[in-house]
Amino acid sequence: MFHKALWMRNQKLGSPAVWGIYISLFLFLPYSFFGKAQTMLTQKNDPYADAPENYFLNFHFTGADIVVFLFFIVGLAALLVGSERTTHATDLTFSLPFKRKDIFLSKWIFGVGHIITGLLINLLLCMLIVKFTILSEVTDAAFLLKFMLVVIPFSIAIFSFSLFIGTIAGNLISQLVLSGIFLFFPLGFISLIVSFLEYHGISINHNSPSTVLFNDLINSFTLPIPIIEFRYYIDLSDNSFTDSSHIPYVMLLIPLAYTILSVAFGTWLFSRTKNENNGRLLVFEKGRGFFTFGVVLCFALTFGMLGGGIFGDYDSRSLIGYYLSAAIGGVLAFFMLKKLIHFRMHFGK
Amino acid sequence: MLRVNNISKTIEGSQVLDHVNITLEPGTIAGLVGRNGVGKSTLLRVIAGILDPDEGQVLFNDTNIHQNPEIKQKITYVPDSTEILKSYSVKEIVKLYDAIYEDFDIVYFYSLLDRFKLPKNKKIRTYSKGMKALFLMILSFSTKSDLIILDEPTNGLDPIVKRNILQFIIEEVSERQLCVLISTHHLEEVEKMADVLIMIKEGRIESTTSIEDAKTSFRKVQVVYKHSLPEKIEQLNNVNIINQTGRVYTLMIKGNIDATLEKLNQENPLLLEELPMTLEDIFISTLGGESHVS
Repeated sequence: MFHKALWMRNQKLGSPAVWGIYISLFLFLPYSFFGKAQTMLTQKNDPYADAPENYFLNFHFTGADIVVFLFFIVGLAALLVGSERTTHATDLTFSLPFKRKDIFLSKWIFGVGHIITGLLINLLLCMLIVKFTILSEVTDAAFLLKFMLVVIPFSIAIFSFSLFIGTIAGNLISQLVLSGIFLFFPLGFISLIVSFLEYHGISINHNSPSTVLFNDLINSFTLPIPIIEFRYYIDLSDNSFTDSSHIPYVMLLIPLAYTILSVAFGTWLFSRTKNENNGRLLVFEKGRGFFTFGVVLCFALTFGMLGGGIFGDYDSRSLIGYYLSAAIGGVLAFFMLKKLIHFRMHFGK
Repeated sequence: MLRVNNISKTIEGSQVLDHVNITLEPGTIAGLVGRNGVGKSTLLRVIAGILDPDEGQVLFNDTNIHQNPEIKQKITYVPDSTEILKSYSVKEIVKLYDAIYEDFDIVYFYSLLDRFKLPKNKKIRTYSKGMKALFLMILSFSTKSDLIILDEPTNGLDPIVKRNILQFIIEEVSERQLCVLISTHHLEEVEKMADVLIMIKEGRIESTTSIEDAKTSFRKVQVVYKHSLPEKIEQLNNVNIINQTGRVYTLMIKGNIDATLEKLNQENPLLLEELPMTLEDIFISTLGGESHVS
């Protein structure tokens, strides 16, 4: 799995996304931090004339700043697996004298290596910028360590999960779309279920401690959320301070579990991959029935949620509207999927 | 060297390969021929380890290639798609193949590029389709593999390059005792260079014979009778009508040739003459049917 040739092959396949990872992290972390420091310095040296004492000693950082990086992680996984399936390149890779398990694990190690390297270098640069610029007057770099504890395991989990999706998706586009859908599936599906229950007269107390705990859990299961929701804000001019960055350390078991399961199942499925179905929506024929059922159900619930208000208002919701919309959504999804599941995407023959 | 044992493969509910058996020895060029969609490419992709068989196994030097892909150090596969390495430059590919194949011969690779006048300092995407096909073949032979699998290798090559590359394959096989398995529609190529002819029909191996045996076991004749072809002749199992113009019939006799010619004579033909026969005649007679073979 550490074979030089596989690394070179992965480098060729994944290089656009790898560049994207490094450049986006650099732009949205150290470059942005340095920009903030320079702005603060300018304001300190040249304060507003009407309130010279209040130059803005505030600093804020949110994980949403690096959302582009998350897209590149998913893109990297899609380039490493999905692009090969779409361009006949699997014919080269699978004819080489390597075990399929090693091919898959080499892709995982390649991606994880670049994600960790990119994050560590750029977060370290951020810490140095905080330490040696005017930012040190406002904050210390400890929050970046906290961020590191969140962003590294969750990013690895997002990449691992997207790579796993690549073992069941038959082409680049389906891998990208399915990765996006399933990464937000826990939160999305719970929202659909809550909507379904509320339409049927079962109200949810959103403020009860158990619901809050459940929401936290679902947010952590929705891998991009803990990164995007990481917030750190400090303003010394009015002594306000926000740090919603901490998540219970036990939650870090979630990305760990995602990673372990994704790598284990991904390796198992990749070793049994059906290359004859490359280019299609799904690689395996066996799971198509279950997949179709799931998609139809989710579309029905989504259409029900969105269209349910047509025949009623917020206080008196119409079940007829809900079910009519759900039926339209389900039928649409069924026929759309029937077409898509047999469509084959191939480039470069 | 290569043993394909009882391989079956079903794709999307239809059986593409049905208990296929092939054995190839070193120093052999084998031509795999068959009509479109009979499973030639699928068979080659199974042998190369790209597709898994539902049943059976592919053994190379008695080692299962699907369970022990490391054995593919000595097997290379050249697909019919020429696009797979297009984002690479020549230098990058040399580095990659040198890292993959222990016996990759860089000096030999560059000497072949010179021999076939392929540019060395360009991206593969700038090559023409024929140049790409040639390049992939050169790459494959430079790995010093013992088994080379070529799927439609001469598509897109001009006649001069095609002749040179066919000559080159013959030289390589005679010098190194390697085995080349070629799938092609160009029967004249198989006729010129192959030792073994493997005919595949509807996923089954119809016959595996040497080219000479194939030619001696068939005879092409033209006959004219006073009326139409006698019923007795028409009912013979080993006689195929490959063409009819009026009362002039072109027949292909498969096996039992002398006895069959005797039967044709007994029906008092106005004309009975043997015609020169090509592999294409055998192909049409064995695998053809009515419609045009591409």
